[in-house]
Amino acid sequence: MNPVNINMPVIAPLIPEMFVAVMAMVILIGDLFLAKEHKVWSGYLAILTCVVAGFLTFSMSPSHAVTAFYGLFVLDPFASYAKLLIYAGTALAIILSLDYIKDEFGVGEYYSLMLFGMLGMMIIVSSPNFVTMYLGLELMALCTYVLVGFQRDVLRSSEAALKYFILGSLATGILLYGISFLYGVTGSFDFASVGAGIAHSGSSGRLAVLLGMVLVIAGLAFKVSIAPFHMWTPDAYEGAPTPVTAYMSVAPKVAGLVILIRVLVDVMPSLHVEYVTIFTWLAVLTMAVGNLAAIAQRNIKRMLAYSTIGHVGFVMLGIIAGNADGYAGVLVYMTIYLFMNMGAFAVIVLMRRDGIQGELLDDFAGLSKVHPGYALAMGLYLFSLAGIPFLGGFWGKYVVFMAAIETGHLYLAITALLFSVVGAFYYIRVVKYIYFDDTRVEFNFVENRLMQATVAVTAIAVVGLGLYPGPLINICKAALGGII
Amino acid sequence: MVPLSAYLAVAACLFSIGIVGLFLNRKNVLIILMCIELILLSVNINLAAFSHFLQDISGQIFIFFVLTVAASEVAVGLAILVAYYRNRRSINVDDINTLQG
Repeated sequence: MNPVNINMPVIAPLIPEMFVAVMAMVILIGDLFLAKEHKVWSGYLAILTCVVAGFLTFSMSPSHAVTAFYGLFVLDPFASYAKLLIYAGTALAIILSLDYIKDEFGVGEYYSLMLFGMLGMMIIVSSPNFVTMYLGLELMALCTYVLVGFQRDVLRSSEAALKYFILGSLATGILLYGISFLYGVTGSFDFASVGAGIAHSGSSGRLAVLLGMVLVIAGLAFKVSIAPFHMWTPDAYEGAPTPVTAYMSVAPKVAGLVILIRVLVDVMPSLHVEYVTIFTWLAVLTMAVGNLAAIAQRNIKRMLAYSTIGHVGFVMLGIIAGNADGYAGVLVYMTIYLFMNMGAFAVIVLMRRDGIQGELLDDFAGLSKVHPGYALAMGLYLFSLAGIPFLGGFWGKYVVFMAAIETGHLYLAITALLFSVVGAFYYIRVVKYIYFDDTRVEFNFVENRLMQATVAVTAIAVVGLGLYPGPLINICKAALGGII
Repeated sequence: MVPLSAYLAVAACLFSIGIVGLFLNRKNVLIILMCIELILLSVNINLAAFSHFLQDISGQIFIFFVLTVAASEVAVGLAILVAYYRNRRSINVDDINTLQG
């Protein structure tokens, strides 16, 4: 019998993905053999997984795009950089969980769900094809639905999960319906082929192309909570366990924005005029909803949910600019956002005590008198989120606003500037509570060295990136090598 | 022979029924899950029709992915619904109001 010639698929670029998948399963099974008081080791193992995956991705990050599995997977500098952000976001969220989740049922599942969700995001940022993108999105989404409802004895946790699930599935359906039309016009799921097919589709397929474009954008907009597809965000953020809120607020947003950029650059270059118009209006609406609704919130998790929406609105300016500066600005913004947002959530988690979650703005009153260190860190994060100059958040805004102005979106940049002034109000109000109000509740902080280190490191990063933003901006520009 | 537009019309009808059902239904969360299934199935009809008329197999392969993921999605959805029911003792849509918004 003749030996059959089988072309083995190239799998080397997927080594970090395979490593994470294996480790998630190891944690899932290994946790069964751990006694209750040793369960925290699953968490340490999950953090170690993120660190090792980071080294793997860093060591094999290519200078140009490498494809695998017959073009169903791509590894380029853009994906590598996004993956590093995703690892950092997940690892920090796991650190915040170590103490918070230890009394819940099924600790091991919790960490392995976080890793599987991270795997989904890694696949998303590396997908050059609608099939891969869909599978990555679903892997991420299914894990986050479960994580949001993880405190299954708490009504608001399961209610948040239910709402998130229903709206998330609707968004998936809309996205798929859009993909089916793009497939119908072009006969392919590959981003580049679909893009070429759209460019040559002519007037007969025009309606289907536009319908597909709008539906795909709507589906992806849901994932990154662009208004008017943001409805799920405040409820899911408020109901979820706080570390899960921290997890959802950064890493999936990075993945969603990266795939949005990839789809716009590869699939829709010939629809540039149309999508810039759509995004301009969505950006204004997103900034308005995020920054205005946040003012009315008394719960800090809900406030940070609207704050996330507002920040996504600002980041969209980089996407609208559509040049190298704009896309680099998105990465710069998300990098800085990772540190300041994770830091703020770390302080919120540290303030949790029996029965009281440390979630209401009133709970922060007089924090500076009790613990000046946390108060200072929280103040830095909030000023940075507000975009006060010479903290990290300022440079994120500066880069995307400048990119928008350079490409002729002056009025949009002015609008964004006005909304960031509105946004500064509700961030600084929390600082007022922390520094100028009298203590109303008794503080009782969680003692956890890793979490205290997280607060210190993120606070230093926010200040450091504020003083020396140059290297970060250059790294982000270099990371665009794969797509433009 | 049935033209492509007929298949697309059926799929569009199913998709619309799914969306409308999702928003107009005020009674039962299970109906929402059915509406989500309906939306995903309308996508599959679209893909199958396009795949046949384009003579391209990749659309039909995508259908298998959609079917598989839809099954796991409903499993997760039902699990969340059970957890919710245990806490709330109701799956009435109007009762989902603990979180305002």
